[in-house]
Amino acid sequence: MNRRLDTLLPVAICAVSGLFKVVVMVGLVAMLLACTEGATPTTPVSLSGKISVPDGVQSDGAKVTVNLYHAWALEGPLRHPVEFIESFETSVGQYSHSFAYPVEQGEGLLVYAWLDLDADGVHCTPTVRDDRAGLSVVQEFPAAEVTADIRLDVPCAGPDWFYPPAPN
Amino acid sequence: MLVVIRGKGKLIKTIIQVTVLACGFLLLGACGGDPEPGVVVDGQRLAVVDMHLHAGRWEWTPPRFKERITERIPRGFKWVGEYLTNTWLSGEGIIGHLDSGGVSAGGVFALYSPHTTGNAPNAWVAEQIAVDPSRLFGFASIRVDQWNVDSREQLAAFEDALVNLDNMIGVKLAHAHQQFRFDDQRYYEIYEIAGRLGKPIYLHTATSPNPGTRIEPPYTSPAYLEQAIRLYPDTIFILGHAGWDSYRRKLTYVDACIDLAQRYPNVYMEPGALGAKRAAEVLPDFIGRIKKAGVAHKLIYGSDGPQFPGYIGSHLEAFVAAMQAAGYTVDEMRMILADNFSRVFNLPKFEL
Repeated sequence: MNRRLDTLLPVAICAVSGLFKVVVMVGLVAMLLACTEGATPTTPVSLSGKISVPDGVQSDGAKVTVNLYHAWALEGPLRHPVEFIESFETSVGQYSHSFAYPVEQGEGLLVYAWLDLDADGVHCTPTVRDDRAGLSVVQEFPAAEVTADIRLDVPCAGPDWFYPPAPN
Repeated sequence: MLVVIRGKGKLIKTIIQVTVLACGFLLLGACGGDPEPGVVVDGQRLAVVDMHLHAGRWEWTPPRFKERITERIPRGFKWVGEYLTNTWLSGEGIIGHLDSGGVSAGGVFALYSPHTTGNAPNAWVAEQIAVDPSRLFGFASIRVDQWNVDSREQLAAFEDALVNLDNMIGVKLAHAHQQFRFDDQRYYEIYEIAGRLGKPIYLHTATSPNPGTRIEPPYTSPAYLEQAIRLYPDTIFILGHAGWDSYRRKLTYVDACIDLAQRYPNVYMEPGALGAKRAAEVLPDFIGRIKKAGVAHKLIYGSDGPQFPGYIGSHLEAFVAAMQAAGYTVDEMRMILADNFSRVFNLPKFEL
C-alpha cells in the first residue's frame, strides 16, 4: 500500500504542479492581453453659435436636433467622413453645448442640424418634405472653445448631402 | 547553459499547451459530420438556398465591430478573433458552414461600410465565390461615403463589377450601415444600373444592433423606398430582414414591407436574422403575418450568417419549425427556401 502511494504521490504532485503552471501561464497571457483595453481619451470642448433659417420659415418653438461628427475617422480603406460623436437638442437662434471630444476616434468637427418643422420627430416623411437641415465645418479645430453657425436651408438632407463637399 | 535550454524547453512546452487549449476552443462547434442537405417536410426533402451571407477579413473590420464580434470570446483570448474572422468569412469557410447547415447554395455579399461592419470589396468577394461557383453567388456593392466627391468613379466601378466579375448575380446595399437615406435621389442611379443590368438589389431594411448603424426612419423604414420602387419598375428590390427592427427587437417595419411586396411586382422580402435567438419571441408573429398576407411567393430565405459555427443550421431549423407550426404547405416552404431565389435570379432550380 505504502509502496503504491510512494509511486503515485510524485506523479500526482508532478501532474498538479504542471497543471498549475499551465493555468498560471494562461492566466498571465489573458491578463496581459486584457490589460491593453482602456477608456477612450477625451478632451472637453465648448461649442456655441447661431442656428438660422431662411426668411418665411416659421420656426417658433420648433425643435432642432444637432449631431456632432468627426470630419474623418480611421485609416486606409476604412477611412471615412462623418463619424458620429453625439447629439443634442436646441432651437433656432443662439445655442451652446459642452461635450467630451473623443480624441482618438477621429479628426475634425462637423456640426449638423435639422429642424423639425412639423414636430413629428422625424426628419421628413416620404410625403411631408419640409424639415430643413444644414451643416457647418469647424475650421479652427482642435480647440477648447469653438463657434459654428448653421443655416438650415436644405429640405430632407442628411449630413452626407453636405460633407465632404463637391470639389469646385 | 543547460538550465537556460531547459527553461526554454518548458516555455515552449507551455506555449504548445496554451496553443492546444486554444485549438480545442476553436474546434468547439466545428465537430460532428455534415447532415444531409436540405430539410425534411412531410416526408419530402426540400433544397435550401441561403441568400444572405457575409464575407470579410479582419483588416477590413473597424475597431468597434471587432469588439462586437469578439464579444463571445473570453477576455484574454480575443486575439483569436482575427483567425476566426479570416477563416469563417472566407469562401472555403462559408462552404463549410453551408455543408454543416445542410444548405445547398448561398448569396455572398460584398459591402463597403467603413462606419459600421467594414468592407468586403467586390473583387475579393468574386475570388471567394470562385471557390465553388455552383454554390456561391456574389452580390456586388458600391462605396457611397464620399458621394459628392467621387460618385462618378464609384458608379463606374460598380457597373464594371456587375458586368465583369464572374457570378455577380445581384447587388447589396445597406443604407443604415452605409449612412445614406432611402429617399436621397442623388443615389437613385444605383437602382437604374441594377435594373438595366438585370441584377436584383438586396437592401438592408430596419435597424441593426451593430454599433454606428443609423436607426432613424429615413435610413430604416421601407416606406422611404417607395418612390424609387415606383420610378424603377425594372429593378427588383429585395427588402432585407423584411423590416425586422433588430435594435429594438420588434417587427416595426414588417407590415410596411409586406404592403410594398403586395403592391409592387418588383418587391420581394428576405427574413435574415429572424431565425436567430434574438428574434425567437417575434418569429412566430412574423411567420404568421407572411402567411396571412399571402406573400410566400415574395419571401426569399436568408439567414445573415455565418456569424458563428452552427448559426446557419440553427437559423434554418428555427425558421422551418416556425413555418411548420404556422401550417405552411410544402409548396410554400419550397418556394421560400429555394424556388423563389431561382425564379428571381433566373437560375435553375436547386435539386438535392
